[in-house]
Amino acid sequence: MRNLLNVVLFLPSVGALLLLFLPRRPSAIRIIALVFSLATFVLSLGLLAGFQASSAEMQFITDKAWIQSPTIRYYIGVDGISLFLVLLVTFLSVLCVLVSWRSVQEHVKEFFFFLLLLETGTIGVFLALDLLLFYVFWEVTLVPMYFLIGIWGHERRIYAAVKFFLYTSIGSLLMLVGIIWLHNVFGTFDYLSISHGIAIGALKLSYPQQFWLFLAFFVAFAIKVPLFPLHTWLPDAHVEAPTAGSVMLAGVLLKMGAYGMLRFCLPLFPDAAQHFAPAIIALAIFGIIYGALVSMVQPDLKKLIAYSSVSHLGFVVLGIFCFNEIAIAGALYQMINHGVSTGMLFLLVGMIYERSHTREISRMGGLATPAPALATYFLIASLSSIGLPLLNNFVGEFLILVGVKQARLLYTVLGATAAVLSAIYMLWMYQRVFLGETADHNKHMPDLNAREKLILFPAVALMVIMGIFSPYFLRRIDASTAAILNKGGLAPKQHVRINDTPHPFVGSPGTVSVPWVSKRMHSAHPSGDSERRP
Amino acid sequence: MQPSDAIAILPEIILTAAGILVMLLGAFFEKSERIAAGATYAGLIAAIIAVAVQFNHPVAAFGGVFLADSFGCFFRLLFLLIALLVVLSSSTYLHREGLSAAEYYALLLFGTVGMGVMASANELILVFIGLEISSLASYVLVGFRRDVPTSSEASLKYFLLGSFATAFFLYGVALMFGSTGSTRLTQINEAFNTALRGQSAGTPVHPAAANLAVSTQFPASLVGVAIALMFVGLAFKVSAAPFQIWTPDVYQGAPTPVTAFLSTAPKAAAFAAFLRIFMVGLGAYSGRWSWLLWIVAVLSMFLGNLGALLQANIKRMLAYSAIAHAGYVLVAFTTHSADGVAAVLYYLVAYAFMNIGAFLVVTHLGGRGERYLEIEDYAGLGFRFPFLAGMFSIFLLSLIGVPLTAGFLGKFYVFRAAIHGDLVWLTVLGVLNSGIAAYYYLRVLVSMYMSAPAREVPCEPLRAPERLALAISVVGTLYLGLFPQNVMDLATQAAQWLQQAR
Repeated sequence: MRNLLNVVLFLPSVGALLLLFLPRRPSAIRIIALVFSLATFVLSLGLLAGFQASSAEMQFITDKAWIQSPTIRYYIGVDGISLFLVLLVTFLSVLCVLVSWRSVQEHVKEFFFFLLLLETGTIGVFLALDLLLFYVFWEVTLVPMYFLIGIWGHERRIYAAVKFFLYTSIGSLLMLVGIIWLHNVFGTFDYLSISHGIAIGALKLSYPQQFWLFLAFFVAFAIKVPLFPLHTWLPDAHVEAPTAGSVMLAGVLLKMGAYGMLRFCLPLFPDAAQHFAPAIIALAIFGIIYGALVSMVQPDLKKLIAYSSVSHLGFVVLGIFCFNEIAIAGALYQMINHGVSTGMLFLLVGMIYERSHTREISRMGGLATPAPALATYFLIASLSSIGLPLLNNFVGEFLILVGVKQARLLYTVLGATAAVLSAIYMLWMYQRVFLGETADHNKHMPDLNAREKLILFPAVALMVIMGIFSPYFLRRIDASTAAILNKGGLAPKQHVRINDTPHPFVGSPGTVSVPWVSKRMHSAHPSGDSERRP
Repeated sequence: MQPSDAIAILPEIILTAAGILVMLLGAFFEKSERIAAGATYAGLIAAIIAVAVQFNHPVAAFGGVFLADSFGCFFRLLFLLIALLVVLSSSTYLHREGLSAAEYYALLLFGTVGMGVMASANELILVFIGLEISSLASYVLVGFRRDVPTSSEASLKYFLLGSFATAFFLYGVALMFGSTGSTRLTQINEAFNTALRGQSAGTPVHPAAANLAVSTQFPASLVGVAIALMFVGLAFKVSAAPFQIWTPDVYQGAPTPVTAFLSTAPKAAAFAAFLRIFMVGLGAYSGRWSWLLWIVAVLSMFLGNLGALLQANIKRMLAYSAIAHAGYVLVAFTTHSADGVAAVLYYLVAYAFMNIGAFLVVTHLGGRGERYLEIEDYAGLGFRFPFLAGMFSIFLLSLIGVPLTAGFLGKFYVFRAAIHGDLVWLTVLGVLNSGIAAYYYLRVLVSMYMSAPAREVPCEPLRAPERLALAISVVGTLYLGLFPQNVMDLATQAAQWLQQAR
């Protein structure tokens, strides 16, 4: 049990190394990749079982010296913020292996090698508690993703791969400067001791220091998220990547950015975060609307979903930078939701592409007739993405909007337009792709086979589970999100934790009452939020 | 010469003897390749042992002119290691190109002797002698493919410009002697310190001190010129911009293993001399030269990286990248702190492994007559020769500075030293440069893994010595990226030694 986290982290890369020494037999390689990713997933469920829900502390900690001068530690642990993100990675990785079973026919060994390597890298990002270790994992994810896009991608894959690499690496190099600078000030890379020191006031950064350090970290994360106007790499990378690559990109890599903001920008540089918050919120809202509007006019199915990610992730950033516990819990929930829903949408687009060899919406139409199962799954995923109640996205969006409202009503109003817009572009797209007259070349499109249904079913099940049994997840998230806010001194003095009120069923009146309760508490005790503004 | 003096220069004696022996063997035996290689290996390994023994027993030989201290030994070990790797990667090449192995090995050994002298010299004239010994060997090595015009052109260019640079250096030495009355670094330092103390006190206090101050009273402008001239000479040798013009042509024209050698060993030697002269001899004047380093570092990084973006020939690209890497090293040097020196030392070791590894692959794939040197020629390599391409990818990723490789930790230490020395802007510029640099290394990866082959490029299987050299380079690259502690300890020890010597 003590080493469970290490095993989850390194099992995929063990599998990857094993693949290198195997003969080039595609079938054997696929099976080994599946075994390793599945084993990782099952073991990561063990984390869920052993996780203490009420604690905001890091759990499953491993702390070993790695490099002595300067002290860099192999220091990993999991808390409520990273727990579900890790599970998301391990879950999506299994789906990625399965979806690549037939679609990847060339260089099978290398493909699964990079896919498994990517899994370790992304898990590591969410687990690392040493700043430099975090950076190491952060950069290491670039390389496999670069190869996945560049080798197995579509027509403009090389352009997309290089753009992806350069964009994200330049951003993260500035973060490296920030990390070294932090080390120069505090003499340690240990995230927990720095954030704890800042929380209790033992460590202090002057405002100019915070200003620059915040920027150095934030830009790296904003590129990854991506926040408007740093999003231009995303449509290229998503569209050109192979299905598994798109799923990992949208499902996991984008979350790394939002995770970084939550984990590092808020607790380490609280004053600068507050200072920048209005500008970031403005960009986030702009991104929400811009992404939605651009999605609406995309002729390419994959691009449409890619731009919808810009919109959805804008929502997440909005939730994070309102410094409200409910909104942050919602943002975190939305990160996971987006991973599942958009991941599934990319899986489905990949399946359509395998059949029709096109992603152009205008060449589709009426696909529901030859492929009803495909259409049904697609509908569920679309509805989830729109935020239909009882499905996962609703919970996240709802919590974000409610939380954001406590900061400013205008933000909620503008944010909520995204929900409307997403309904427009998703349903309109659905209509053009699946309804109407079936074109001749699509008349004999085969429906989903058993393997594909096997891939899609868990994702759908998860959407429903996350939509209905959200308290199960939120209970594990709450303590840590509250702790993050408290650490930076960003939380209002008097606050109500979401799970102080029982809410067995999101969408039921019980849950709706939660924000109202806290709202009343806030008005009773003048909100600390406004006092704190410099 | 006392016995202890002989022990201090024992590695150089061994190498010289081995060099002469190799030459004689070449003259007397018809098929001397194997024997010559054997004698070279034996000489190098014996020298490595001799240096390793000296490591913890610093000796000041010849009245303190030659210092076999931890700083010098660190560098001598590095040169010997590089020489060993280059010899290992050359044997197949020499055979393939029909070049005479004995002379080649002998020149390598003599070059290494010169570098060892440079790294250990505590005296400007001796630095100059070492510089000349190593330079002469490299001029000849560059032109070793006599019947190839580019090789001869490169050699001539290198010789002419190199002679100019050493002349600059010598002129600087002369002026330094003229102004301080000594060519011994520690004495120069003392003279400066005394003079500065006199300045700060306003008037000399003590009569004896006044006498000393009079004897070392020198015009500041003369010292400035002397520093500038020596700076130019050394900056040329480390191929720092704006003295980098020769680098691409010479690196491209030279036989590829020689390019690997040039880009690592003589450069490291020049850095050793650079560090010792400026940190020990001119340490008191750091305000005068650290801004020069700042400018040269920035220029080297930008010119190197921007130049490399445009290259189609892989040797030329790596040549420009070598200029940029010199820039990164200079960033650490600009801090002129113990941290910075340790970072320089670490970076040079890391760079040696990854760059020799990269050139080794280039050597192997170049084919007879070095015909396949365009980046296009690497198209499809990734799946035709997965092993070789995988190794090359590791070296390239390390040159980019991706974590878990030597290149990353090298850069990390450099930037850490720079931030530690409050050079934040220089760090930011350096970091942006490594972003630019990623682009051209990625081009090679793109070509290897993502492009369809343009023409059929033959590739023979690797021979045993090449395999060994490749294995050492890869292991070194990964080891330095994962477990830097041992090497960093040595580098720190050497850096502190240098700091104390002031």
